[in-house]
Amino acid sequence: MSVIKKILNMDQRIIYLGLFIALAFPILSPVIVPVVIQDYSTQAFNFAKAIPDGSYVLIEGGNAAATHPQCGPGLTANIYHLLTKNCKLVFFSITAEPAYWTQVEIDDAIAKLPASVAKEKGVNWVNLGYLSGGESGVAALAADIRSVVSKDHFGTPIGDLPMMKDINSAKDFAAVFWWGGSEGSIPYGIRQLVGPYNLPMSGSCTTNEVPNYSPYVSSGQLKGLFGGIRGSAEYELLLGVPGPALAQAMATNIGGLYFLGLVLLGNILYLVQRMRGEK
Amino acid sequence: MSDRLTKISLPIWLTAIFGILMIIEFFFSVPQIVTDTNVKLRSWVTIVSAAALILGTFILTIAHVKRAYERKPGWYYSLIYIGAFAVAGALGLISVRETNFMWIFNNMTSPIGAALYSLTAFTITSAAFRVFRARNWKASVMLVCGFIVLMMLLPVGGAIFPPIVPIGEWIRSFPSSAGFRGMIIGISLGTIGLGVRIFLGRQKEHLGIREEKKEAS
Amino acid sequence: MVLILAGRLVSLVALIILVGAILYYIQRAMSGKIPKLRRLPAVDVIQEIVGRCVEMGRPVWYLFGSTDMTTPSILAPTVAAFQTLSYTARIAARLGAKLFVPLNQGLAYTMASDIVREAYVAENKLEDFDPLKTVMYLPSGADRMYIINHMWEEQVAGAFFLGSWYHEAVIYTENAAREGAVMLGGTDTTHNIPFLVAICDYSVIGEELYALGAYVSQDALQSSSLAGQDIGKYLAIIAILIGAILVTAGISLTEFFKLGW
Repeated sequence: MSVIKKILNMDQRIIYLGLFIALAFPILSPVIVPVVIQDYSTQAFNFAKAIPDGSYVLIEGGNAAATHPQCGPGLTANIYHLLTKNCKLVFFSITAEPAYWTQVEIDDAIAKLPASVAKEKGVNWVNLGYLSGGESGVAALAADIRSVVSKDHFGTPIGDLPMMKDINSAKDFAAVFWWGGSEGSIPYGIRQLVGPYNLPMSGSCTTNEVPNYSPYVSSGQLKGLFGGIRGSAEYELLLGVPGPALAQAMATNIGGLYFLGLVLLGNILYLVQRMRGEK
Repeated sequence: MSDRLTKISLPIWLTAIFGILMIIEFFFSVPQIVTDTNVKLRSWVTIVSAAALILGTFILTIAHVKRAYERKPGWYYSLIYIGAFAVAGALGLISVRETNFMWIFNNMTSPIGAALYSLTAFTITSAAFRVFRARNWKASVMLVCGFIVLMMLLPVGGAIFPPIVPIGEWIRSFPSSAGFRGMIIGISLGTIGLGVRIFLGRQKEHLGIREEKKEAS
Repeated sequence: MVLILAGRLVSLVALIILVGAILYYIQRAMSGKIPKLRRLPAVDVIQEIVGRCVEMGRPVWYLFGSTDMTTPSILAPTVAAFQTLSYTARIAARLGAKLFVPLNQGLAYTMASDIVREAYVAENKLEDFDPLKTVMYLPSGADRMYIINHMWEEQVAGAFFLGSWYHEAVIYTENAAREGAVMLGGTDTTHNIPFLVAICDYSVIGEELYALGAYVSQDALQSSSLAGQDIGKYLAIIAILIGAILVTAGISLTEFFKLGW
């Protein structure tokens, strides 16, 4: 077997090892690199910036353990941004595990906020926790919050939360952010919140899902989209609050360049093989 | 009540009636009683879904207990499951926050979930090396577009070659979007077709019922 | 009082036309006029893959992806995948292939088990059907490592990845490809279609999965539903063309739709 053929058919474990090495060093020793902001992220940031101060905002937290490293920093930045605008935030999750990670991201944001920013639970933000029923649950929440949720994530009755006094349906919110992780659930928000209630919506998803939602951004149903770790890094950069996503941007760079390098190598060797008439 | 009535006819009728009520509320101005009924129905969905989650867990546990009891192949793995379920379940029932439940979640469940998901990165790199070859013009177009979009997505891509960002954004916003839009329309139509068949009672797979069909040769 | 809510008229009209078309074709099918579906290349591919596995003496796998049928977006592709499983299982039984069908959901496991068993009975090959090993229930999460390991161990020669696939599609297809398996993939989860198309040797995209299921099962209901959906596609094409012309002419569609249509 020629050398070219051996390389083209190399054991996948060599590729895995190369990727592991490529990702390990920048993760262990993060370096902040310049990031060119994409248009989707700019649109999403401007949308968040344009929300009137003090508005009620609904946020779906859909990051699980798998997607928290990618999209978690972005949600943390989003919470930071909205609380500095004195917005009142209501969180919910449509799957069980993300309900916990949403609270982690809230806690991360609160830890970063300056002391002058109001961030009291029940007054400035409420986490309603896990809402079962998937899209039907979202529809039920949008119509009447109290028909599906009686206590928040911590077991406090909704009636005891000062912030929830004046809100009971999607009509009471100024905007919704859907941090869907890899759930593929952004269309739930579009169908149950944007369509029936004209609630403007932005959000985030994993990088591979961005093309899936680009039709919604083009049509204006989504006012912007933060995609994966790059989107989270861009949000941190736009906000001026560097965080873990920016630190991981170098790892994304190196991993991506390794990926592209392999594709190029494969194609060059393949073309050489064809020119030589080998199979 | 006969089995057929409770397991087939009644669920089908309920599905159709409740579904049509939801559709009517979406399109038409309806009396308050319809809105209130729909709010109630939607809240029942969240309750039933939560109950189904618990039920599913118990059914899985019973299946594993049976497997361990009957010494079916791999029964020892069932014992591991039963032990893990018993410990985590007991701790969770006592208190999620004041016991070691969160330690188990943070140090076992979450890393395992993240590790399984991260397999995708490795396998997709391996797949890209093997698959993204310019075998013909169609594959070449896919290769070039994929290359441009990936460079655009990399934070350093814009720094290496600035024009790649607007080109990549154009590819993502126009031809790629158009393709996905077509697929979304087709799949949405399929979902509406499924809804019609379910409302008519012709599609019963979601009830666990299959009907014999003739097959193609 | 306005009967139809503002901004919903166009969607309502479109829905009525679409549902009407589906009902019309279903009615025609009931009276024997079943719409003809063109034969998809994937139908021949199924026979080819199973035949290859028999020649090589290696197993053929049929995987579903997510099978939570309480979710509408997962129900449709899963039903189509069941229909294709029935056809594939009959071919496997007829040719003597070693079929393996792992599932991670209880209801789907029960149905798949029945489907495969019926296929073997229909081909008079019930002795080849192992109720414990042909169709297997693997808990979600644990199934991933089992499938990867056993793909390597058993050197799967052919694999079908049909249904509602998420990110695990890449993991399984790449592992099967590395074993030299010939694969047919198809899903309607849009963000995973590119992966299946790129990695699998043959693929069915989006709605083709439903068409494949309808064709191989010769289900009159499915075929007539597909015909009705085609009317919806023609509507969409007309709307896109009209919209493109209007926007090119500088007419704002936002203003047009603000008329309360």
